[in-house]
Parts: sequence; C-alpha cells; structure tokens
Amino acid sequence: MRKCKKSSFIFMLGLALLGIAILSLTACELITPKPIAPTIHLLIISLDYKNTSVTPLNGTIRDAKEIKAAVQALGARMGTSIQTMMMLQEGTATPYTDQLYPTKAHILAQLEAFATSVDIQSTDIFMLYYSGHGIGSAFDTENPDRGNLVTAKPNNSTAYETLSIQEIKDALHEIDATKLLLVDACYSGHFITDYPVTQEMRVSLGSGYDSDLYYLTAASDVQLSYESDLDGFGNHGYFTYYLLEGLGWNHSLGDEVVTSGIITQVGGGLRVDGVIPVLKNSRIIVTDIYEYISNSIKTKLSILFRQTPQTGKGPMDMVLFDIAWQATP
Amino acid sequence: MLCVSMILLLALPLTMVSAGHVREESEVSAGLRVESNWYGSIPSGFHNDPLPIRSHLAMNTSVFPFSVVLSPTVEFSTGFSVTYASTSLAYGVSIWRAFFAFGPTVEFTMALNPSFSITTAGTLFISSYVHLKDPTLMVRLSAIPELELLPLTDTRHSITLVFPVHVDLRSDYTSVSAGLGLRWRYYSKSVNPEEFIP
Repeated sequence: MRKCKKSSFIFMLGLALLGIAILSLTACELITPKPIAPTIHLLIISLDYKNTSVTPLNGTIRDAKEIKAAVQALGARMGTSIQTMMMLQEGTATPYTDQLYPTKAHILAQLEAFATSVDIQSTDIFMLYYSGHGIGSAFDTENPDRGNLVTAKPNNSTAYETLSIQEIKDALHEIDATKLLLVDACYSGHFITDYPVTQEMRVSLGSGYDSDLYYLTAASDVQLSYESDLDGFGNHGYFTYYLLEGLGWNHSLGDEVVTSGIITQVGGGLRVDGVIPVLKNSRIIVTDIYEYISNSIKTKLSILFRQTPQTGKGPMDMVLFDIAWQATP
Repeated sequence: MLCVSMILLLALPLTMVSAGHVREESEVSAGLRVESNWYGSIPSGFHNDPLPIRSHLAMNTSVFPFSVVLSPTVEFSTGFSVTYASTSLAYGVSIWRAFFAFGPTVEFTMALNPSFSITTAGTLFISSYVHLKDPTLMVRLSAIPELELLPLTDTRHSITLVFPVHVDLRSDYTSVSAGLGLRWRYYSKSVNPEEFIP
C-alpha cells in the first residue's frame, strides 16, 4: 500500500471548490439586494351584531380595537410603518351609507380600493383581521357556505349578508402584497387552501394555492370559536386574546373606557420594554404566533370545547415584524 | 454549529498524514455519524419565491447498529437517521420553516484507497415542519467522501472525517445540503498491525 498524494490533492481541491460553492449559495439571502422595508396595511373588520337579530357577540369589538392598538404599538417599537383602517359595526347604530360600515358591498369595495391603491407596494404586508360570526352549524358538514362571514345588515329589511370565503380570497388575490388573513370566527379553518402536496410524491396544482397568502384562523373547519371573559377585563375571543398576549399586550396597563355603549379607549397596552412572547431572534414569525395561540388555548379549553387554531401548511412562513427592517430604507 | 465546523476544518490537515487499514470479509461493526450541514431548499415555481435557494443550517445524526464488511473494500450498513434543519435566513417578509425528519437508512461504503473511501446512501425520511405536525415523506440520496483520521491505539475503532452531500427529494421541492462531520465505527475484530500504512 502507498500514500496517495495525488488523490489527496484532487480531493482537497474538490473540497475547496465545494466550500466556495457552499459559501456562495449560503450568501444568497445576503448578497441579493434586500427589498425595501415593508409597510403594514391593516384592515380590521369587526361586528357585534347588536343592531340586528343575529346573536350578539360581546368581545369582537374589544378584540378589534385592541388588535389595532397592539399592532400600532408594535410597529412603533419595531420601527415598522403601520397604516390602519377599521370597519366596525358597533352597538345599535345603522350607518348604512358609511363606507366603513361593514356590509358586504362596503368590504369588497374597500378591498378593491386596496388592490388599486398606489400606496401598497409588492414588498408590503396587507393584514386582514376579522372578528365576528362564521356561518354554519355542527350538523351541516356538506354546506358549501360553511365558514362564510356574516356581515352587517345593509338595510332595515335584511338581517345580515354573508361574504363567501372565495369572494374574500379573490379580492385578496388582487392585492399585490404579502397577505395575512386573521379570522376569529367559527369554522374559520375553511379559509385555508390546501398546500399542494400529496403523499404520492407529486405536487397537485390547480387548487387555488396562493403563495402570498398566509393564514391564522381561530378554529378548524368543523369547530366553533369561543369568547369569554378570561381575565376580568371583558369578553375576548380566545384566539384574539392569546394573539394579543403573544404580541405582548398587557390588560393591566390601562383601563377601558366605554361611552354610550361604545369603547372609546381600549384597556391595556404594550409595555415599551416588556417581553413579547412571540418575538424570537428579533423578529415575529406567523408560525410562532400560531404555536403560541395553539398552546395557550389548549391549556384553557376543555376537551369538550376543542378549538384548534389553524395556519397554512408547507415550507414558507411569513415575517410580520423584523428589527432588521429598521436598517433598510 | 459554526464552531464545530471550524474545528473540523482545522483538523483537516491532520488527515493528510492519516493511515487506513483493511478489514476482513464478514466482519461486523456498529457506528455513528454526526454532521453539520449547510442546507439549501430550492423553491418550486408555485412558491413564487424571490430567491432561487433558501439557506438553512442542519444537523444530522445517523446510528448504524449493524454493518458488515462484504469485501476488503466494501462495507454495507443499515441504520437510522435523524435530521433537523433550522429556519432559513429571512429575506424580506418571507422565511422558510424549520423541519425535522427521521427514518431508516442504508449505505454502501467503498474504499478507494487505504485512507479515502466514499459512501453512497439512501434514506427514507418522515419529515415534518416544526410546530405543524404535518408528516410527509422525503427521500434522501447521499454521497459521502470519508477520510480516515489518525490511527487509534485500539484498531477496532475507526474515526473518519466525512464530507456529506445530500439531495432531498420531496413532492413539492428539492433540497441539497453539504457539510462536515465525523463517523465512528467499532469493529468486531482488531486489524493485523502489519496492514497499517506507514
């Protein structure tokens, strides 16, 4: 036997080339020019159904207003620009002609306006948060309308309208940004389009999968979404309560003010130097929020009232906030 | 992980003076391989990803409870592998998820010279993104050059420096990974000292 100096040399050369290739590829995220820092466009739709015959919800408006406050406070802390629009049906008022009153037509019109807005860049984030009823019952598993959203009544002769999942997805598809759909409603798992993957080692396309659309829903497609007074600060949806908690919202940092049945000041706040449970490695990722909410709800709800939040499948995930964005223009 | 890689890189020159040995046919062994890898996920078209490849860091451990020497230069191993890939580097508002995988593996190792061998391997993984509990199948094909490190006092032991290159085949996208690691083997018999390379 003999030493193989030549083969060792070839091997070392190959190794060096491999190392260079690895370094080049590893740097792909680093050498590609970074996109500009995103602006978060937040559209909040929430209804309490107190101006109609639909079963009222006591936590939805509180949830919506606290979400707005929490995202704005997080934006300030993380250096991310936030633009917010609220479409609320709160209390007994019936402002039918107000463009921000959340009828089906008004919601679709606002989504269309976002799609044509020059203020939204392809590098931005568009967040749609909804808290209200999702249509359906435990016994109508074949109902194609299951999971559709119950929007505000458009006139005195109609109790409510529904906005279908497909209509929302079609409207969102037209918005050229990365989208995050947050739905705190019953049967909201219906919103999630299956990731195109099968066990047969092949991809099944044509399912309407939108790689720019990410989801966080309060429940699966067969589950109810519950609300309750979890901490003595008023009703919240379980999903939104833990979403807020995960984002660092603390209900003891301020008192809610209600005037004539309308919440004029939200209770709680985001401590400037407080812990944000879902903040990891200086960024907040959708899957980490999902994990936090899922684990929290699991410990709170008994097995008789199962509510399992959902998110999209597949390898891709969304960064909602990143400290590093402060360094980009 | 980076530190481990640096230590292994610094140890590389030692392999230039390494020695190998020849094993007897039908000899059996057990072993372990640990690796640290750069892991690149190659998005498919439908992902509409702004980057051509996504970079993760990965760790892989394989346990080989049974290997058999088929000829003085060929060894066959069966074992079990576990791998973990971190979340990718972030780019803009997108990032790729971390995942773990485990599954059975089979390998053939062929010695090309007394100190250098190459292993080809196939692994069937059950893979799931962390937190999602959504298992899918993944097939890994590997080519793993190995360099024998300095001879040990007890010749039943063998430690090699490995340079694994893996290709992971999934139904929705493909990944490649490459890195550094160590493989330890424990043979049933000592080798004849006369067969050491000077």
